[in-house]
Order: sequence, then C-alpha cells, then structure tokens
Amino acid sequence: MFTSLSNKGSRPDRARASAPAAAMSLSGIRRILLISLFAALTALGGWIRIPFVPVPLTMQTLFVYLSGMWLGKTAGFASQVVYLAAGLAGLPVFSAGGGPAYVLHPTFGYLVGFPCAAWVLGALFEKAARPGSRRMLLWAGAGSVLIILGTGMLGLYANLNWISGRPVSFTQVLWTGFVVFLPGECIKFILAAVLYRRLRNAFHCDGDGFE
Amino acid sequence: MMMTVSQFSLGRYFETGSPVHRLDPRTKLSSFFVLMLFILFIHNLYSLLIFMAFIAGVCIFARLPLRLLLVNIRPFWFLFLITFFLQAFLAPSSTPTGNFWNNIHFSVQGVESGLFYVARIVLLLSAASLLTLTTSPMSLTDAMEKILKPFKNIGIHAHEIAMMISISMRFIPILLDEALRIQRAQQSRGARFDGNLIQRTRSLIPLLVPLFISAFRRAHHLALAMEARCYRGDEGRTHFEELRFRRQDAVACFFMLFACVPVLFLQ
Repeated sequence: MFTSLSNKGSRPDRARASAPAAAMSLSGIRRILLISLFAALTALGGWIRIPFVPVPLTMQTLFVYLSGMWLGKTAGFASQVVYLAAGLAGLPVFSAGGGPAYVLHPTFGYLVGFPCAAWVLGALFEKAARPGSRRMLLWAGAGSVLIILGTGMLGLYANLNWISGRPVSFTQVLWTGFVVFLPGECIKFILAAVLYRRLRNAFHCDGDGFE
Repeated sequence: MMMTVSQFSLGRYFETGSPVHRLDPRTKLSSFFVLMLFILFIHNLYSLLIFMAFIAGVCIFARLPLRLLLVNIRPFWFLFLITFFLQAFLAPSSTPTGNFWNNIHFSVQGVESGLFYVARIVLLLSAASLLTLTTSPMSLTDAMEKILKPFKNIGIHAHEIAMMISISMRFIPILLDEALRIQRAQQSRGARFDGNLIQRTRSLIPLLVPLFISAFRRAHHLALAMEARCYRGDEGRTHFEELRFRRQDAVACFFMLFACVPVLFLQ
C-alpha cells in the first residue's frame, strides 16, 4: 500500500510543495482534531512494543517526534499537553495507568519531556528552509532525544531524592535513566524521520493531512 | 511480537452511586489538591494517622472496597521498595565515605523513618486513586474546564482542551482496532514482524504508514461531520448536566477542613 503512495511524490518539487508544518494554517476544527489524533496516537504508542534488552522499546516517543514534525510547535505541544492532561485526569493512557498520582511515578519526568520535545522539533521544522534534510534531522534528533531523556533523568533524580527522601548520586541516575534508553530513542527518531518523509510524499496536497 | 493490550485498573472509575460519587467534581478536585498539599508537608505520626482515618472514612462513605485502593497503588511497589530501603539502611547519621558499602548499616530509627515515608506515599496515592475512583474522567475534564475558564485571557482555552481530551479518548479504541487490522492485512500479504532489532523496527513502517493515512482520513470525516453540525467552540454551548455547588458539597468541604485544621496545629 505504502509503496504506491510514496512513489507519487518522489519528484523534489512536489515533495517541497507538501511541507506538513502548514498544519498551522488549519481552521479551528481541523486543528483540534489533528491535535486529538496525535494525542491518541501517543497513547496508542505505549501498546506497540518491541521486546528488547534491557528495556522493551515502546513506540510512544515515536509519535511525540512525529507530532512535532507534522503539526508544528504550537499544535505539537498542545497534542502532548492533551495526552498528559488525559492521563492525569484518570484515563489509563500512561504505561502504568493514569490519574493524578502519576506525578509521583519515577518515570513522570519523561512524560514532562514530551511536550517540550514536540515544541522544539516543531519550531525547528517550521523555521527550516528544507525540513527533512539530513543535516537538519541530525540536529533536531539530537535535540529532542536529549530533551526527553534529560527531563526524564532529572525527574528520576528529583523523585528519588525528594519523594523517597534520600540522595542518590547523579552518575547513578545518569546511567540508569539516560544511557540505557539512548540507543532505543535514536532508533525511534530515525524511524520517525523515515515515516515523516514517506507521509509527506504520500500526501501531495497542501500537507495538512486532509485530502 | 507487539500490540500487547494489558489490563489496567489504575485510575479507573468505579460506580457505586454513593454520595461521594454524586458530589460536584469541582469540590472533589479542589479538596484533592488541598489534601495533597497537606500530606506533602506532614512530618509527624499523629497527622499521618488523622489523614489515614480521613481517607478510610471517605472510602467507606463512598462504598468502595478497600481492595480496590490496594490494586490502584500496586504499580508503585517499586517506589515503596526504594524508599524503604534507602531510608532503613542508609541511616541519616552516617557520614558519607568514599566506599558506598561502608555506609550501609541497619538502624531502628532508619526502619521507622522508612515506614513513615512509605506510609506518606501510600496516603498520597490513595488520595489520588479515591479522586479517580469516584469521579469519571469526563466529569473531571468538565470540572477542569470550569475551573480553568477564567484563564482564557492568558491563552488557556479550557473548552478546547476538554474537547480534545474527549475526542482523543474516543480515537484510541478505533486506532487500536485499525492497527490490529492493518497488522493482519500486512501479514496476509507476507509481511514479517520478526527478526533482529533493525528488521523489527523496519517492519513497523508498513504498519504505521497505512495507520497514519487512515487516521487522517477519519479525522477529516469527523471534521466534516462537526462542521455540518455547526460546531463553533464554546460560544453558546450548553451542557446536559450543569455543575452546581450544593449543600452536600459544603458539608464535604467542612469535613475536609475538619481533618486539616488539627494537622496545622500539630506541626
């Protein structure tokens, strides 16, 4: 299915005319729906997982990256905020459930990083002259992966130190909360970039994702 | 290999039709935040016991089985374990030396403070679970919408956020269904979802591209349907059930303060 779709937009001029960050120009309802769609996809990503040592790879952050790339900074940020708000309101969309108590979960820091990463990616993709070029993807990828893992690591550190009430050294947290997840995140970002290009070519309209 | 839908109970709404369930969600949400603040700052045993009694009282009044609360806080066992062992075996009095293992020693004081911290976290978690067990997610978003309404001027569009939460909630089962269907369709065309890590990651592409395309199409149709019904955001929109602050809400707030005031003096 996708091969026939991706062939359509392989000409460079057509690829250029379909920059998806144009989602910004969408009218109210369409924008609201796209934001909710990406929030739902982020929740869904938690259930798509590849078994992998030492931690299974879930596709959650894949959709975080894509929401930033596809929706731009404001809408991408909003989609992740909606995802967080839905989880905190008690919908079981986080990896261990939901509810306001999740703020105390050791992994909450990673969730806080989602909207930040989406915003930064969206800002980069809106500004770039040629979004999706290799060089730009490299910088954007490094930035967003660092944001998610960085906030996650800080969250873990804060959780252990202030909620558990006992200091843990920074290097220990760096190892267990950052380094372990780094390869998985890089793979997911690459996958997100590949998907972004495929989808951009598949929708050869003005790129809002609507035909 | 994938698409494992696990069972969730954390944060699930549990209907019993009790007076607590029928309270205005705004009352429950704001008392939850007050309670959370108080619990975060307690440092003695008596205040802990007062709040435990309060939570247990609410639980009985809401006709919730205590087992449900325990199921709700189970995913956090890891946090309890870490908290307890860090408190119990790394006694606060010991001066840190170069070797980590030198600092480990058992003390009664440490065990006591470990139990205290674990009890405090249990309290926080049960307060949060009580909120979501007695309030459906939709009425919670309603309450959030009403509370956040005055902040429209600083760019928080409460109605839009509440709307997006309810739409995305309805998207999730549809997308999950769709993803499973696409997975089977691609398998029947000979797609493989195994192999090493790189192959498995690549195998997600024929799954995700059609998923995105069908998801965008659904969003498009929904947009058309909403436009056809003249959706214009929150202007002039009414609710099926208007939230009202009634006498039982005032009583609930009174009980809440009744539990909090002695704690203030005990500090």
